[in-house]
Amino acid sequence: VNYQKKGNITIDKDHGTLNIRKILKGKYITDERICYIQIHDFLDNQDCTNGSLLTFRGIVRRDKTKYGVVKEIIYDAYVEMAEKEIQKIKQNASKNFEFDEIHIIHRIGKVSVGEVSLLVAVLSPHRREGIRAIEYVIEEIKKRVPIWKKEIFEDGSHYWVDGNV
Amino acid sequence: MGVRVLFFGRLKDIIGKESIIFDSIEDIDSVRRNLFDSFPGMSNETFAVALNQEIVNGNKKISDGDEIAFLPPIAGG
Repeated sequence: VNYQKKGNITIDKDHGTLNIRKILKGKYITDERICYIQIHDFLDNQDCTNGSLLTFRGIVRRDKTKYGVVKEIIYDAYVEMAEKEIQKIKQNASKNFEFDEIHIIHRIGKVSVGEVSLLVAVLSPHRREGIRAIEYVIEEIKKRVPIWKKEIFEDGSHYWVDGNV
Repeated sequence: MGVRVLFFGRLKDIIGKESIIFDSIEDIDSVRRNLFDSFPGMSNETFAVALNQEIVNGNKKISDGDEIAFLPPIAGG
């Protein structure tokens, strides 16, 4: 893998540029490809007080549904509201769990099978709080953040995925 | 300025566009009735309504410049 160092951010050139500045500025929705990065390079653990780093990557699955085999997913989002909802989830997580940093990024637009649609990273002093925080955040995103997915199948047909009411 | 009404997910396909502007409309129930009349497919759909990016339950008065959104059940991640 071809990594390029940019400040304290390492970008995987083979997978395009993750707009890390969007994460750091509190923007959580991107239409750019989320690449595989060395996450510990941008999480601030310089004084080594954190003993746990968890990352979750949601990946578009080549699902065999009753409508066809998934080729890609088109994510639709109410971006302004989604940004606010993710911010609220992050604030609730901060109140309820002990961690140092949490980063969330959700991709929208066309995402092919095998590509990352959601990235969550949690840096915490201890693993248990980190695990609880990352699970909470992922579940809340699926429940509350206004994002929808349209599965595109190999034969070109499509289906809007049934969501949570 | 008017009131902008946004549609997402499968509702975009039913309406055939991403948004509609109403020059003036009194409340959310009026928007709902108007849509059901113009797009009968809407009455079979499950959705939540957001007013200025906050989910609202029941009816609410609308002011000029407000943004309404019709949100089908969420399916992100």
